[in-house]
Amino acid sequence: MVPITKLNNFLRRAKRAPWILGQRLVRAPSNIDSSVSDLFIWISDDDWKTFFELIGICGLFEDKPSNMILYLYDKNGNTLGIHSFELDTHKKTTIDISKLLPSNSGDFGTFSIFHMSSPRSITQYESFIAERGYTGYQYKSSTLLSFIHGNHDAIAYNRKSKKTELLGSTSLFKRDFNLQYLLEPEHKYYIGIVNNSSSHKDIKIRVLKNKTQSEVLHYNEISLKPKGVYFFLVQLKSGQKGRVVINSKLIMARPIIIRIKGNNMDVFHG
Amino acid sequence: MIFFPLLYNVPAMVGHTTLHNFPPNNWEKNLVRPKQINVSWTDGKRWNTKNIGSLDPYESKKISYYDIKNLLPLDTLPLLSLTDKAPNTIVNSINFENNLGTTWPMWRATLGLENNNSITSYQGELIPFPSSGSMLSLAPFFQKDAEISYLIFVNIETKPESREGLIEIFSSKTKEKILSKKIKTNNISIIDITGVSIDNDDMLVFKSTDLSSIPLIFSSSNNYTNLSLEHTHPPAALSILGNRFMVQKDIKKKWFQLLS
Repeated sequence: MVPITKLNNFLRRAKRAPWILGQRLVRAPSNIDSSVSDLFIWISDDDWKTFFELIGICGLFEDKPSNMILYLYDKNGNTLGIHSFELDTHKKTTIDISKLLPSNSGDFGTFSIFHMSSPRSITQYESFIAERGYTGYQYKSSTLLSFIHGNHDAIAYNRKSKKTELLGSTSLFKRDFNLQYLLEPEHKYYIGIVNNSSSHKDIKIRVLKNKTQSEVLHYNEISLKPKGVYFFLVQLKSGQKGRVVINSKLIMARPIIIRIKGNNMDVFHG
Repeated sequence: MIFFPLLYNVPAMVGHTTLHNFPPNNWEKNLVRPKQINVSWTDGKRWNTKNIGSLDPYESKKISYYDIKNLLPLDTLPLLSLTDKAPNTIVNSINFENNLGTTWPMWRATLGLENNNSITSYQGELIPFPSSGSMLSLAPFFQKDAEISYLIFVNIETKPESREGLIEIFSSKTKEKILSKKIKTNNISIIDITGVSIDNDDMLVFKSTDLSSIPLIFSSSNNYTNLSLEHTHPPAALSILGNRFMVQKDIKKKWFQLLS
């Protein structure tokens, strides 16, 4: 007789297998001499400015200046520009992304930061230097920035070939990301999703009424290009509360959420 | 159990945590069944747990600090949890296994602070630190011109006994110590850093050889209309794949020497 707990564990693993086997959250860069970055989101218009707090990661380990390059992309993943930075040991700099954008860049897009060398403390353990730093958003006349940290190890830069490669995998089946967050009617929400895979992704978003599985309060669908980003605007009617379900073949469609009520803005990861 | 802390003791702010009874993915729907909402805390000798309600399938519910304040001793960190059955009320240790099952991503709650109409929040959960832990973390996003700034350190360990540990805060550029303070484990510690001035190209570095903690920086305007809340990363986040924890060990060793 097979003990019931062993049988339950086997059934549970079997149920998870189609969603996990061969579908890594992030692929390893194809070349060991690579630097990894998130695809951060920039927003720039009359109401918004975007900043990035850049640290010389290599210099934290080896007491020497660090060199970095910043790639700017538009909302469809097209390259807008490349900028170089050098930082003294143990210092940081604040990059005003909005000032680096060429005219006609649009209102939002993505960017990545690649460190041009890796300290031995990282390479000897077969690890890759990764930029997961802090993006600050300034809304209207706020004197404070609202920060979020990098969330996806999305893209690698091969220092030899000087080419980038996207690291996000594609799911075997379309899957739901159930955002564990309650949307309320007094707020306006921008739900930003980035495509960190190398193929177009169809993204469907549903807002379901609190406590229900199928009562749809809001629906939208788009096709998202590699390195691209899209913001879904959700504003619930008075008395409604809901939750967000994102359906796609992205392994982890974890969005960033911007919540606005009057002049109060908050940004956070799903 | 996975715990969801309820932030408290942040001046002028009310902590709240919104719990959700559905998994973040679509392949563990079997986990969706009516759940009990519990609050746990330590009295310094034992972990205590009290059932405070229930959550229907696919329901989200916001719990404010004021909802549970009178159930706990003063200056005690409330830890919310979701279970299938109401738990025992008093235990000597807590089972910190992942009872909610999911790992990629983790089952999360919405943890936040609010003042009138202004809210700031993040998605999180809390897993206990080893009592032998230490901490090194950089905060490049400290807003030195904010009218109000607090450091919030959150720590829980499996043992119910509370102990003190020293947290030191340095300038990354000069290595000068800006301040130090003893904080307690199994609790939230608030340090007022309003007015701390560092150069624009400088960062705060948090160090402790006594304990591990999640450092958060809360910033606000004087009228609390603009708020900001974000946590720092452990050094393991500076790399991906390979043996990141050896990477973390190396950088901790180097910076603990630099800051000694």
